[in-house]
Amino acid sequence: MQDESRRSILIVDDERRFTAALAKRLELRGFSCCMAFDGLSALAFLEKRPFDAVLLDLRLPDIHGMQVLSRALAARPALRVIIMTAHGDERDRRVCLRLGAKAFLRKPVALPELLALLEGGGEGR
Amino acid sequence: MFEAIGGLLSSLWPRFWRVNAETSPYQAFVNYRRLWLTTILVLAIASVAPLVVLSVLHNRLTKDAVRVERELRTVRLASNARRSVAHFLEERLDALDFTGREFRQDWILDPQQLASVLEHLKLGFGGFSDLGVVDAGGIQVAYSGPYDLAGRDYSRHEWFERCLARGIYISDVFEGYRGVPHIVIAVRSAPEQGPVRVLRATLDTERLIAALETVKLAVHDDVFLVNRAGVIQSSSLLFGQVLQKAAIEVPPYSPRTQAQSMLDPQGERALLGYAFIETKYGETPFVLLLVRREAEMMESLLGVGVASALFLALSILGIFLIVALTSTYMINQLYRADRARGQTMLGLEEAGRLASLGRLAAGVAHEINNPLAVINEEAGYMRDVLTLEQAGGEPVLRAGAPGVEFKEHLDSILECVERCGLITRQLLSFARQVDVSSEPVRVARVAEEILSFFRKEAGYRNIAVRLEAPEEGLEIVSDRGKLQQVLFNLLNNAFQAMTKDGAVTVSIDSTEDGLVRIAVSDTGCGIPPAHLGKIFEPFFTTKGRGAGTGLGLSITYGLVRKLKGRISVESQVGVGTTVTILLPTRVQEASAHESAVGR
Repeated sequence: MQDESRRSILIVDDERRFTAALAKRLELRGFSCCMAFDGLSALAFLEKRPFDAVLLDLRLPDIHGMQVLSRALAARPALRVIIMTAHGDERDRRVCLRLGAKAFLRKPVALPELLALLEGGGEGR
Repeated sequence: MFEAIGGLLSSLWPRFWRVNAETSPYQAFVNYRRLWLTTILVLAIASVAPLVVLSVLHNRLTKDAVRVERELRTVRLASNARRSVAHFLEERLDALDFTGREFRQDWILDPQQLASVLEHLKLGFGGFSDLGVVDAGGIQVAYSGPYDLAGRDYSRHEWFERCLARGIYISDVFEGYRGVPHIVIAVRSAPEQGPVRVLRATLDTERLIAALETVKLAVHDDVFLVNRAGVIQSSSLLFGQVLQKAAIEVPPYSPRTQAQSMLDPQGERALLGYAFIETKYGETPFVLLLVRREAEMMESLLGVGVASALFLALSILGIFLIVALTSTYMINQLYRADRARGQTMLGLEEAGRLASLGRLAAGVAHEINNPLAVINEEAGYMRDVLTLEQAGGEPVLRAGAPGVEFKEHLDSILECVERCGLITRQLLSFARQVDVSSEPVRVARVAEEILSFFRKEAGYRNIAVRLEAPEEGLEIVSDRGKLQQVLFNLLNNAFQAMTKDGAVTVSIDSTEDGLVRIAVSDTGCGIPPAHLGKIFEPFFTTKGRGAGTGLGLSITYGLVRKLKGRISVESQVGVGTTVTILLPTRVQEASAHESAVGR
């Protein structure tokens, strides 16, 4: 199912049904998706494989999404990280963007907007 | 007039006395009545006490000074009187002595010459009524005067013997057969002048009494002479008739003039000045007594005393008035400020309610957004599948499978809808507090509702949440909304006291005296003992600037008071904090009404 031409995406969210459904929808659109349900396993994935993009929730059971964000970017500064959260307020958004996130989306997310970001269109928000 | 007094009284009488101290739950920190009374008492005592002490001291000093002055003056008067009497006697003794020395004895025996001498003595000195010469045998050899006493034999008379022995003689006052008080004085001639003779003269006492009268200063001053046996020798106002025994003891002998206090025959306090009269020729039988009533001497002082007592009384009254007015004014100001603060707090309470609603709303939005995100993706996926199939593309799902797989997705959606519904219901029950102020409330259920807002948060921070309540659940009649707000505030504090890993326990039970006890415990940072006393005061916060308003617990305190309950805190730094609320099972109708108005 996974070949080299498909772009790979890591979805990090502890809401499993959300993660699963989003992964299926992105795969229908030609992306290759991996799922992580906590921050540490997400960082482990990132060490093993060079994902094109990461969709990251802020509230995670073990470490905070911002910690995942900063560590992932420390290892790969060019990584495209998109924050998707139900909890983030304005201050969280500013911090994440300063840390290097490409965009900060609030749940529920409109898929076309997400696709545009994954295609490399819009920068931030 | 009456209005003015009424106005003064009402300005003295503090406002807070008339109002129930419970008007606002935020004002109970001060007991105004006690503060007012204490202030007045302390200020009044502090200002009146020195005044009274000074007045008493001054009064005593003045009295002492006056007493000494009085005694001195009495002694001086008595001395003057003594000198007058002594001088009177000395003058006449001198005259007799002179007569005896300067005239040749034979010459004086001539009745005409003797009469001439008597005439000169009467003119020169006064007081002489007769004059006689007695020879050594006691026979009066010559006499000049109103009676026929020539040839009288005095040899057996006591006075004659004493005059021969001592050179002079002064008799007591006596009436004799003349019926007029008089004194006899006698002088013996010097031995070197020839045959011994005695010159004898009778003195009437009018001149002596006139001399004493000049000493008197006040109406009731009494100056008189007694002999050493206490028989009155000159007229007395108070102590009896002449030649009667005086109604006073003769004081013990003293060579100097003395003064002592006594009671006069009419029972008045008086000062007695006395002097034993002596002449240069020797002692006399006379004792001078001067009696002065204290009341008359004190008259001037009495005026001063009344004036100073009046001044003291007015000063004390004035001080009390000023102290009372000042205290009332100050405590009234304090009371007003406190009441204003109480009103402000009521406003802030509302603001706090809105703030906690705001926090709640933010939390609720997050809680709802998550299920919405799931629904969004599930529904979006199903639409994706259907869209692809309608477009005639390769089927995404195995044949016959869509029903099964779609059912899973639809279940997930329904479950999320259910979750959202639960959250909105909880929000509604929280917001409902505005409508009803008194209704049956199951405490455990309210606690569970409020806890549900915190469970997600607790999960993220690994905080164990426990609710310990009896099976049947306690029901009280109370204000549900306020109870919710109280629990929300306390749980909010408990969660803020912990960062990660810990436990929050809400335990509910009933006490022996029929109250419901709700205890919220955490294992957080705790409160230092120094802060424990202040945590219910408005604007007390240990959080940094801008982080906390310091109103949470203060508002909670006010709410609990409105529910007629009590709140207390126990805490140990590093171990945790337990806030305990005791609530009555029924909030009375009156207080419920009051709180509805208060809002």
